[in-house]
Amino acid sequence: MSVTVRVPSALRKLTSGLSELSAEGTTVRELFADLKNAHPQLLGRIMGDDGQVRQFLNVFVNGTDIRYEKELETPVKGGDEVSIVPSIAGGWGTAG
Amino acid sequence: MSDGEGGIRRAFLSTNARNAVIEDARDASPDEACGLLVGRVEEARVRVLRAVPCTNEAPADRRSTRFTIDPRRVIEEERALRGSGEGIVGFYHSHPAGQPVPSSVDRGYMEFWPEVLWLIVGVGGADGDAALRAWGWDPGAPESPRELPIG
Ligand SMILES: [Zn+2]
Repeated sequence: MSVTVRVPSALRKLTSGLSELSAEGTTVRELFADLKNAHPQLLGRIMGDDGQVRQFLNVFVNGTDIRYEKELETPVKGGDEVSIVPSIAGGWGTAG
Repeated sequence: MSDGEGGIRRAFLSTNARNAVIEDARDASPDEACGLLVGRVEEARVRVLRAVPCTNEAPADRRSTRFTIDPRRVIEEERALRGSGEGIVGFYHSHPAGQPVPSSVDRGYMEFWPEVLWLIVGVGGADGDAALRAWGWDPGAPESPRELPIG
């Protein structure tokens, strides 16, 4: 059973124009591994060199942030919906 | 990362969207206002049809210089827009005490949203006039973020 992975329409250039992808796997890590060949640009955005999800990237399984679950080991099953959304923030002045 | 198309070059704002952004910025002051911009991308031009104000999720004591939008708002809004041909084409926020130019903090986040429109509203002018400027991050352009003409 495949899992639906959604990216915001604004990021479709990273996914060959698709905002809805289909992936196989039993954890988020497996889904991302399945997507890596077809969508290397997207995966490059999501994953840092340390193999973890980048700080400014958010991954939700059925609306729940995987940081509050088991991170990349969060289980998924057929029919689940995974969403990938970069953080939206900013402010005046310098970082800190 | 760039596909050579050059990304967005220009922004068009509906009167409704422009008014909503400025009104939200004034209402939120001295805190930063923030929200989503909904519309369409037409070749190199982003057409903003409406603005969706969002709660500033930054800590209460920092909202005068920080904003955060819950990323789940993007998921919800795009679900509602599915099949309509419209999508989230950008974000807006205000600088209650500063110029409407991207700060170093802003730039750190813009980089993760290549080729979307970032509208920034400055409401700090002595005459109370709101200044609105548009910016885009093109990963292929060394001068990013660059200002986009409006209209
Ligand atoms: Zn800012």
